[in-house]
Amino acid sequence: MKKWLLSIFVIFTFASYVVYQRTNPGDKVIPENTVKQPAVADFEKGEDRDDDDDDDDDGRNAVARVAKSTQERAPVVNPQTSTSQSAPSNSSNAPSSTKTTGQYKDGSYTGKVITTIYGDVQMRAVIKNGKLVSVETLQAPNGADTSIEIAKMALPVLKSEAITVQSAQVDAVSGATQTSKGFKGSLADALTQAKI
Amino acid sequence: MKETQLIMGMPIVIEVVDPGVTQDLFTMVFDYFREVDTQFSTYKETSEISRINRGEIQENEYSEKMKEVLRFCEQTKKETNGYFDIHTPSGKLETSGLVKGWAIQNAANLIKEQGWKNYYVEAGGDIQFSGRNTQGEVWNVGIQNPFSQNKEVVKIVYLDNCGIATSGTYIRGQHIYNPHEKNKVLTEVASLTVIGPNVYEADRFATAAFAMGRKGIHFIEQLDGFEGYSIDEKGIATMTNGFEAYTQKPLT
Repeated sequence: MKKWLLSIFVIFTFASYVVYQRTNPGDKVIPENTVKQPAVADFEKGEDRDDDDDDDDDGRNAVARVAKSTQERAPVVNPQTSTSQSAPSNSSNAPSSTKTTGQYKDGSYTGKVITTIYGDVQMRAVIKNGKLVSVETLQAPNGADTSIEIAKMALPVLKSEAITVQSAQVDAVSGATQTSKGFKGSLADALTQAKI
Repeated sequence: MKETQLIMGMPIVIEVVDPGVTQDLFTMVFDYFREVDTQFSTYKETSEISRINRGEIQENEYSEKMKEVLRFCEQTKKETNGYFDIHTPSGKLETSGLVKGWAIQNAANLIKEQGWKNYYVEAGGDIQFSGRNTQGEVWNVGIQNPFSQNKEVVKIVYLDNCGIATSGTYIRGQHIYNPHEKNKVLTEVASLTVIGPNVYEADRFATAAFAMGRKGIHFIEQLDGFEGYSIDEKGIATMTNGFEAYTQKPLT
């Protein structure tokens, strides 16, 4: 009988907590101007600008600056630290917890899949104590084994070697300048979801 | 004579070693690159591609060059099992993966049409070669170290009337990082270099093969007339069977 009572108590407590969470979304809303203004201000400081030597850096800088401003702004103390959290979820668009500090809600946010000329890219941003603590690559073109016939081919063994720097003079050098806009696009989407 | 200009956000180098070459030729070729940029840059609001992406131009109003590029993009998509795709999720078109190689090839053809024999045209690390260098030898070309910011070379190939292109995440790709592991490369292949009959062909297949990751070099292996050199994140290179022939200096 004691076990029954304990179980009912636990279930009731959890249900109450869930109801409380659902019926009180208002306390997490911060007026838009107090959130967005600082981000814009940071953007206009022009940090990180001097190393931009190309013409397609808009996405990257937006993400980098947002992340930076978040870290600077995040409060140290989080009164809700001990609050029980719902189970982590990896499903798209589903934050895994609801703590609220700084500019972003805590949780992990999965960005939408961005299709690039290199294949699909998907990123996940993890926010802890209002800070961006990690960026994970869920899908990258190099990891994509799907849909290509070559995946089914018996691959011949090709010669390999460790690269070594050559000192000889050359007429020209071949190297890459390609960018990976998809990474930036998906990450920016994840951070948009994380915004309070 | 050699000249470098910054167009399309990247250094463009033209060298013509034949005696008697004049500035006019260089002006004409650099103007051609500027024209391409004006038409195909997605960073220019007024470009044709931007206007198409804003829905201001209908398909029957596209310029002939735009139609040609879009046709080539579609063809390349088919030839690479969909790995080469210019359609973004928002329904926009991004042709830059093909336009660079196409523009270099057209620029080299302009030089050829004027009767010049010994030259190269480079845009952002992709190069079309013709004839011989200033010493009268086959052009010697370095493959850039993907782990160095400098133009450090890790392999030398000798190229005679063909094109070379490299795809990779370095240089601009370094903008993408894990905030806690800033030096960590996000992909397992650091760079993939392709040598082909011309730079247009080399570039479009390098772009697509890079997207295939470790399998990319095998994709190049099965293409007739193409050789490749792929460098992984640990600095181990894998090469196609015919690649080493390009590393031997010809005796001419």
